[in-house]
Amino acid sequence: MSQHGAPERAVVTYPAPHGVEAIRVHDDEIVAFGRGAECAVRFAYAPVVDRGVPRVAGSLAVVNGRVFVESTGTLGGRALTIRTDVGVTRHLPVGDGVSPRERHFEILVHGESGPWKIGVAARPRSVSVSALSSADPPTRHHELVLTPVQRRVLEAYSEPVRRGRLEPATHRQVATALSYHPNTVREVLYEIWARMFAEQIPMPDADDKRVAVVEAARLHGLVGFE
Amino acid sequence: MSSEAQPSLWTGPRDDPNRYRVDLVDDGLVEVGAGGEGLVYEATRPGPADVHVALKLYTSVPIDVFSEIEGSARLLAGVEHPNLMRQIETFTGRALGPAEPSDDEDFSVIYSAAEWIDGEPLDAAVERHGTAAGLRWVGDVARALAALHEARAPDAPDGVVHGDVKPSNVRVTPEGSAKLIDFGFSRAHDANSAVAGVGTYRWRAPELVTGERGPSPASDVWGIGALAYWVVVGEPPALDVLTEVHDRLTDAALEKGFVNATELASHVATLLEADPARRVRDLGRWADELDRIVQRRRHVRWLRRPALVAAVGALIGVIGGICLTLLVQSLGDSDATAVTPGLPGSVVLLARPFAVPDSRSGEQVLRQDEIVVYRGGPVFLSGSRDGEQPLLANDEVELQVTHADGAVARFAHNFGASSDCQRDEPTPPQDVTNLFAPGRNIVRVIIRGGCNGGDVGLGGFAGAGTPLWMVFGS
Repeated sequence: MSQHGAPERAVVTYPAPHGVEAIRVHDDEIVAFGRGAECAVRFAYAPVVDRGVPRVAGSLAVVNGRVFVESTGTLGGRALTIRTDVGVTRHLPVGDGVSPRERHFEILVHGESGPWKIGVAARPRSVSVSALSSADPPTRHHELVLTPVQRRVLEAYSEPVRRGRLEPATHRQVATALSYHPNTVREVLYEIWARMFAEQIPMPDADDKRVAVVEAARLHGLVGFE
Repeated sequence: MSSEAQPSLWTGPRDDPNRYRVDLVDDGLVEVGAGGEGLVYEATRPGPADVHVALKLYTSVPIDVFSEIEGSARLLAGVEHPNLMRQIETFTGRALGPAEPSDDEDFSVIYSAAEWIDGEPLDAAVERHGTAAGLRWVGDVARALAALHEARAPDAPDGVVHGDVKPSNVRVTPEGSAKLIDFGFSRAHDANSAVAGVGTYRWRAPELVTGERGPSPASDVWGIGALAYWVVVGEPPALDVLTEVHDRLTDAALEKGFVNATELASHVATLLEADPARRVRDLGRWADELDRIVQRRRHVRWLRRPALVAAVGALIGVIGGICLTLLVQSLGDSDATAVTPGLPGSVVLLARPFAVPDSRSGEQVLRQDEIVVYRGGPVFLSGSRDGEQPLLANDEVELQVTHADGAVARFAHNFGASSDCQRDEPTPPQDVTNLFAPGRNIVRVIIRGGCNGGDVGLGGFAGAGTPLWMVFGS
């Protein structure tokens, strides 16, 4: 539960101008995405604007524990593309809506400078989320399936903590260690964070995703702390 | 103007959409800063005299917080201090774009423009110039914060809080002073606020992490303490080891050659109290004292040069009758029995400058708070004349060490045995190691000496002349 009063159902990661950002979406909540100021998931508006992205390209609505995507761009505009993590791709013309069966999927919004990728990770509705926050939650074995890149990135963030330090590696340190761009490692970190959310792995309530992810991995003996 | 030859992007408020120009580099937009709040670009406000600014885009917050950001900026614009970046304006503007705006402009990006500060980030400056310089810059920032806290305005009757003190928010100018920048979290102090999560992880005061209180001058004070800790130790203080702050500071300061390491550690630790009410309140005075502590460390720098130390003799001696009298007096002092809590095992001294006055006799008493962990190794008594000069014979000295159990060890020596104090012969330092016992607390040290304003001090060395610590006069 959260200050919204409704269970958190999904996390949405998106390419904010300063780097990937994330928000949580609750049951019965509707979140618009696009370049307009009215969108909670806002991208493609700064530092330079991508006018190929509609002010409101679409919306995400959580209904009955499911995440629905609606394409709300200008009539005649480009369709959204939905791509799931099992390789299913479908196009969503303006006016259409869909609720993918998969818990992890991407929404591609096509602008003049290329596609803008929004990631969605949803918790299954079959599990009582509220039970997890009770004082005596059921015993649960946490599993986290990561891609090789995600695994490498998580291990790199965790490396100082495994050596006894209190703080995970910085984005820049990880980028240097793995020869990636700092924005890339930050993006992958957010993907891991979203996966942990979807898998209902308890994470500390830290603003800093590095801390949240590494501490959760440490507490639950996950990647890097097996 | 050369800028006319290179492509640029423009922005500004609705009534002046081309107020600021950002020049492209190799046809690309190059940010000078990016963080949790947004992006920063180097920009110019063209005019009869171009104004060079840092243009910040707030891209992590929705447009409806603009009035809050504008209010904070207005407060900050009224605070002038040489160590504070000057705020110019805050506005909502269009995205960066060509000089001719399109019909479809959306003036919904929050910007702030501030004085452009040449120089380098604090971490790079400390890397290049060292710990002492870093601490001096921390003092600059502390004074800037004191000015912020003292600022009063109708919207800020209790002053302004910065809220995000950390190395990347400090720039060191080419002139060598530090400036506090980035006021993204700054706001009027509201004692009733309990906004959790404000600031940057690891640089937030404990009460902000727990969310039990909101940002306050006390949390900024913590930030300064964390900054000073980082300069000395190399990382910000971890909240789960606050009880070790003093020891960690002391160890790191000793490693970096601070002879007055315990004094420095105690001074910094006063800002890192877990309880906000126990933290220092007067940052200006704290900064002045920090400067003095760093300055005192410099006075003895020459003594760390092994060759020089080896050449140094001690102008030392004991004024027999006077010393005996003073000795008896000091033995009667009742405050020599307390043991400093939290100082484990053995202890050692570090001192304030000790200059013998022209009256040819002087005394310095090192109190508990000037005594730190004694790690063993030989201890020498030596002295100098006029600071940088090799030590010369003539002066007289007495050293008295009081242990926690009341035992008093003394050393007295007349190096020159001359009453006119005019013999200038180098004399070797005197080994006084046997006065110190590792594992025993020392609660008081008295040094007395005299002759011609020469200095008297103690130096400790491990192995081949590596200083562990020393006590020395200026």
